[in-house]
Amino acid sequence: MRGRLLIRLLLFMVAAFGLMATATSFLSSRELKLALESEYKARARAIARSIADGNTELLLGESAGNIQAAIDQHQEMGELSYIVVANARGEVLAHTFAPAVPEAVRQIISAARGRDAASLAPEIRTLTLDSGAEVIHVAQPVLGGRGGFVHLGMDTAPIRKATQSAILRQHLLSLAVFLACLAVAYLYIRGITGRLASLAEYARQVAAHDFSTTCEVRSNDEIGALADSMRSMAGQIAGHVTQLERTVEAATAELKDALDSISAIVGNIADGLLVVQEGRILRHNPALLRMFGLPVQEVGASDEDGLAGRECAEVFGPLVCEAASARMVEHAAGGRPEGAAQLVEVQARRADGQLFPVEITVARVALAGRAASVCILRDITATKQLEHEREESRALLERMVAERTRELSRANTQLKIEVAERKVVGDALRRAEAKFRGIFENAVEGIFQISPEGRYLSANPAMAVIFGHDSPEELVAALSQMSPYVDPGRRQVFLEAMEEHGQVQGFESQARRKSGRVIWISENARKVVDATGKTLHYEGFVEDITLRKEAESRLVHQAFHDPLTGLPNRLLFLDHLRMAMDRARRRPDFHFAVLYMDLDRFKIINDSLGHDIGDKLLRHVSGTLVSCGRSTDTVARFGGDEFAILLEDLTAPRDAIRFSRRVLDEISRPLDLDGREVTTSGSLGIVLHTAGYDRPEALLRDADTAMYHAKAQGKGRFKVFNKRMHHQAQELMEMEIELRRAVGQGSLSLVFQPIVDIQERRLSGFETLVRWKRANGRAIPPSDFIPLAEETGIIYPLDHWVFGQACCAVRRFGQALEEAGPGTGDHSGRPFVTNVNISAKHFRNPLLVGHLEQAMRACQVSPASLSLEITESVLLDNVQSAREIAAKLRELGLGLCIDDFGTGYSSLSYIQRFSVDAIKIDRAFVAGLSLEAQDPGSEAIVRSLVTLGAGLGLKVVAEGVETLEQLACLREMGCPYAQGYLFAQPLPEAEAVELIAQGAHRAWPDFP
Amino acid sequence: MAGGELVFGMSAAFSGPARGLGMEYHRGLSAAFEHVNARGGAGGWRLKLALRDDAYDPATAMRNTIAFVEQDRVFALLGYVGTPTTARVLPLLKHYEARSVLLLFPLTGADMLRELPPGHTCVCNLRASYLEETRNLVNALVAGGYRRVAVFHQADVYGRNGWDGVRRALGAYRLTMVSEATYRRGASFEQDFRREVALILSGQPDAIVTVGTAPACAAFVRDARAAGYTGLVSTLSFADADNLAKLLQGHARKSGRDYLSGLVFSQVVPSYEDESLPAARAYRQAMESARLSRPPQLVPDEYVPQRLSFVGFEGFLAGMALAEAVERMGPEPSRDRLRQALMTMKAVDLGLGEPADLRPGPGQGLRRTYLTVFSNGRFGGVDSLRGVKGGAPSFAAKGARP
Repeated sequence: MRGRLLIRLLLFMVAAFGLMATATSFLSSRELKLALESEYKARARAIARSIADGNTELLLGESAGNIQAAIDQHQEMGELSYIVVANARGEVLAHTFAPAVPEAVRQIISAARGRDAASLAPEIRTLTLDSGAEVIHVAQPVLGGRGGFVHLGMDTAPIRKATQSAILRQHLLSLAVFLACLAVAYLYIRGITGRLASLAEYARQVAAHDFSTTCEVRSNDEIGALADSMRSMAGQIAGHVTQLERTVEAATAELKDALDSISAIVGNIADGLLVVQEGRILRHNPALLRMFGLPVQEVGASDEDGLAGRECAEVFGPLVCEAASARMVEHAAGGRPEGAAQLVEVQARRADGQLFPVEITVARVALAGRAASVCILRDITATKQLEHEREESRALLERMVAERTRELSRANTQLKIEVAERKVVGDALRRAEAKFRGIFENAVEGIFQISPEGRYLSANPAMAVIFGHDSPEELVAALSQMSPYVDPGRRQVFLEAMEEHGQVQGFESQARRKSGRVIWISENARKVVDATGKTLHYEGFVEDITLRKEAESRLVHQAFHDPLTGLPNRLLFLDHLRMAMDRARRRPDFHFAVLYMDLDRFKIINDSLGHDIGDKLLRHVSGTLVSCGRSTDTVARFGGDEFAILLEDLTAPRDAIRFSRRVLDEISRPLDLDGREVTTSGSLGIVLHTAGYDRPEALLRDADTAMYHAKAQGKGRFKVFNKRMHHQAQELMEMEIELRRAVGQGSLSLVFQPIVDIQERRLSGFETLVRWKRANGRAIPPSDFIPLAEETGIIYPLDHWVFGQACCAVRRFGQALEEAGPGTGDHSGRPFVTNVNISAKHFRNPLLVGHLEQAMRACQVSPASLSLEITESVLLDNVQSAREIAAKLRELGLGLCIDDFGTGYSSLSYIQRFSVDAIKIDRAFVAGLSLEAQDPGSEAIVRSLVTLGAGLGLKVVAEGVETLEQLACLREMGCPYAQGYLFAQPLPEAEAVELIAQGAHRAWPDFP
Repeated sequence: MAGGELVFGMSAAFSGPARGLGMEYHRGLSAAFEHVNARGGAGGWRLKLALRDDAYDPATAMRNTIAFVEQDRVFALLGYVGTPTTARVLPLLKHYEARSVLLLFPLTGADMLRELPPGHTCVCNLRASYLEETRNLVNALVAGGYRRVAVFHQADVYGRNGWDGVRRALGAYRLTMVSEATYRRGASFEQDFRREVALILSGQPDAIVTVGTAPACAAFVRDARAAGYTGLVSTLSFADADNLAKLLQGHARKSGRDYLSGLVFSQVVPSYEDESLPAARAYRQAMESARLSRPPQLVPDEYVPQRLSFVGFEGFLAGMALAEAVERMGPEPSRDRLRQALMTMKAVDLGLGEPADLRPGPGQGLRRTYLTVFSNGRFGGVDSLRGVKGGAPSFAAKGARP
């Protein structure tokens, strides 16, 4: 119904709109066409006129060519489909048709000729050409037709096209508007019909007494008002109907209830009910039947089917009936008020003939206008019986109570005793509990209980303090949410250990305090079981061992790190190196390099600027090294100014080279330390080919070797260890071993070079020289092995050995001298002195003096017959201690001679400061005295040294005298002593003794 | 100044169906220029052509002219080809009157170039007009017994001029043309002219005058013969007899028909074959020795030039006439002096056996026209049309028409 209305309205709209659109489009297209046509005609006329007027002379001239030229130009403008020019006779003079003038046009041309000659107006018509094109044809007379006519045609196709497109546009627009209207109308109409439909539906529901729904139509219009009134009407109806229904329902229910309750009461009272009217049973209940042993009727059966209407006496016996009726009569006679009950007790007989006492309450009532008696019968057999039994049991009970009372008083006494005992035990327990509670509360260690599942049951305040909580409760609450351990699996480990061993001891873990700080804790716990062996819980102690752990780690760090720079020390470095070597063995592509560096001139800086600056420099260098390296590299300090670097995982050897360059560059930058500019440099040794090494120490040693090579080539360089160095190092090492052995084994020997008093021409002493013949038979010059010995420390036993041997030799020289008789030396006061070379190293050793003393004592030689030869460098290194030792030696009486004087840096003041008593002129200067190499410089030096010696009272010895010229020169200069091949080569001891025996100390045989 | 170069602007059809005219006229002019230049130039001046292609389109011709005058600054305009093109340029010359721009020897016989108002001395004509050509032609036709004359013409000024000429000439005999048809300018040989042929034949002509270009006329002849027409067909000089003959010969080779008999070609110059004429001899000689190349920038369409042609001969004459004018101009060339020089050329001997009046303004140099037919592979002059037979007999027997 709703749809139909909507569709009808819409259909109407469609029809109306269609009609309207058609009408308007038809109208407007017509208008447009007319407008365009008139415009086109006007234009055609204007063109025709312009041709006619503009070319009047041409047209009159009838020169077809010129006319054609004129009309061609007009036609080229493109608007005209043709132009024809005809003369007054109707002959075509020129036209623009191809191939010929169409018949229609030709007719117009000939018709124009016949027109009224006076007509000046152009004639306009529309005609259709053979080709089907419709044109507007204008025939324009020239000079009123005397000059002929200009005909032109304008195609109307553009008009048609414009009209069609206009119609199309309009249709489209109409369609769009129509669709829009349709949509709006649809929505609007649907709004109305929809609401009407819902109202109708609502009315239907009200009619069907369905008030459950209401009409939702609400608006301000008529429909809304209709809906409102419908709603209120329906509401009123609903109210009336429901009220009515409710009243009826209530009344019915009330009645039914009353009936039901009466029925129920009658049917279910335990006593029998009997209504008798005129001796007949009017009404009874099942209880009555049961009482008399009569069959009980089915429930719900009506009384009439049962005993109703029968004679009362016949059923219940005359006695009962009589009691009921007779009394009635009596009462009726007595005029007692109706309904008042009367109680009688009679013997009744059951159906089986048994007698039983029954109590009858009789009331008289009027039923349906006649008197009736309502009797309530109660079987009182049981009551009678009960009375009897009650009498008996009361007696029994009284006896039992008496007995029981006695028993109770006994038990009461017993209980009182027990209560007293328990009080005593409870007090003791409380005291113990308080004691342990105090321990628990006040313990320093944290104490806790956890369930076997790891849940914290309790904790003491100390534990709360350890974990940074305010109270144990808070701690337990916190721990129940989150494990205290940093490692989440730690609790599981704890529990497993607990289950396995029943206890844990020293279970150390990292835990987190409330504040988030990580601490170390140690836990000791045990399992607590009950009597059956079931785990109750775990209990234990917690200790905060953070301080201990920190101390431990600090110790570990200290053990493996250099305290000054914080870099790894040798131990740790070797450890890392060992790991790197292991890795290289496992992975062929793993390359590493070991670098060894020390600082050039560090000692000088340290000595001259102080240890403070030295330490700062070391820290700076270590910082530089660490910054140059990568995080995977190990930079270690080996003490002093020695550093080692382990470059791991190198891709190419040049990485190590690049690192070295960078390090050396960085280190060599001038540095400002406490306001002083310090410049240092380093020497680096590198081992790149690390594959062949078994021991890290060997690797380090080779790096060291390479470093020494670098240093030997100058400062601030690096050197890569190579085979040659290896061989050299090996060679040195072998030599070192052999030398060390040689000191004890006697492959060392002493030789003695005579020192000659060239003024007196006699032997004045010897210089002791050490010779070493190696196992391979090669004699090694001291210049080769002494530095090695100094470097390796062999120099100490070596020099001691030499000195001891020399002492013994001196003793024998002394004996020889005695045997040979006194020399001239005795007169001159210049004793026979044997020089022994002592390494500069000894001058740092305070034990030297004692040692020498002991050696001299052992051979019983006088210190005066011995002189120690030292090099200038001794005086430079460690000036203070050297000076002290020198002073002691001099005090002892030993001579002190400076070897190779003039080649070092010693100043003359040293000579005095060290109380030196002899100097030796270096052989280089002496060599300069020979004729061939007459060197005025040397000569001057020698001369001044001789003069100096004489001035200071020093013995001056010229070394390396080899030619007569040198000797002559020296003698001329007044040099007192000389030694050299000119006199003798170093001699074995026996030959030296022999020399003395020959009396050389008196006069040198064959003095040149 | 003597020994310089004078440049003349030539706008003509070098492309499109009418390109044959432009090409041939250019060749003739070039040959004359070369001939003159080879002999030290005209009065010491070397003559040179500047070319622009208008493809027989009036608007393009006008643009070319403006370019010649304002950009190229040519000395004069020379050798324009075509009536509609020249007709369009004519007002422009009026505009350039102050600059004394001359249009010399255009290849057209249009009236308007000869009926100029007095004082208008911008144009110098060499050839006879279409009116004269058609008059002479119609006279010959009538004399030859042909009285039913139809005209097939181009639907433009050129065609109308020819049509008008025929109309007027016939009018003198109180005759009218029996039928007429037009075609649009720019038709090629491939175009279908059966509709036009039908229109023409509806008048049952015995002679048809065609006023068109070579390809259009050739195509018309082809279709007229195909339609069974056996009468006479004549063309005007502008139809470029040489190229027309070439087109028809080419088609004849394909179809095996003789299209050239029954064709009469009206010419404004005598036959170049005529050895008695000094001009013809000079032309042939010049063409022999000339090293003519096609203007490369102007030949988008393929074109095989004629060795000798009527149009070329006309060009050659025009070139020689110009050389004469330049020589008369004297040592200081200017446009005004050229005009003055031309004014003196009242009777110039161009080697045609008669003097030519080459003065600018109304009138023209040559007035005679010549009728030629093509036989035995060459053009020959005829005095009378009486003996000219059209069409193949076998074809006439077939008779497409009832």
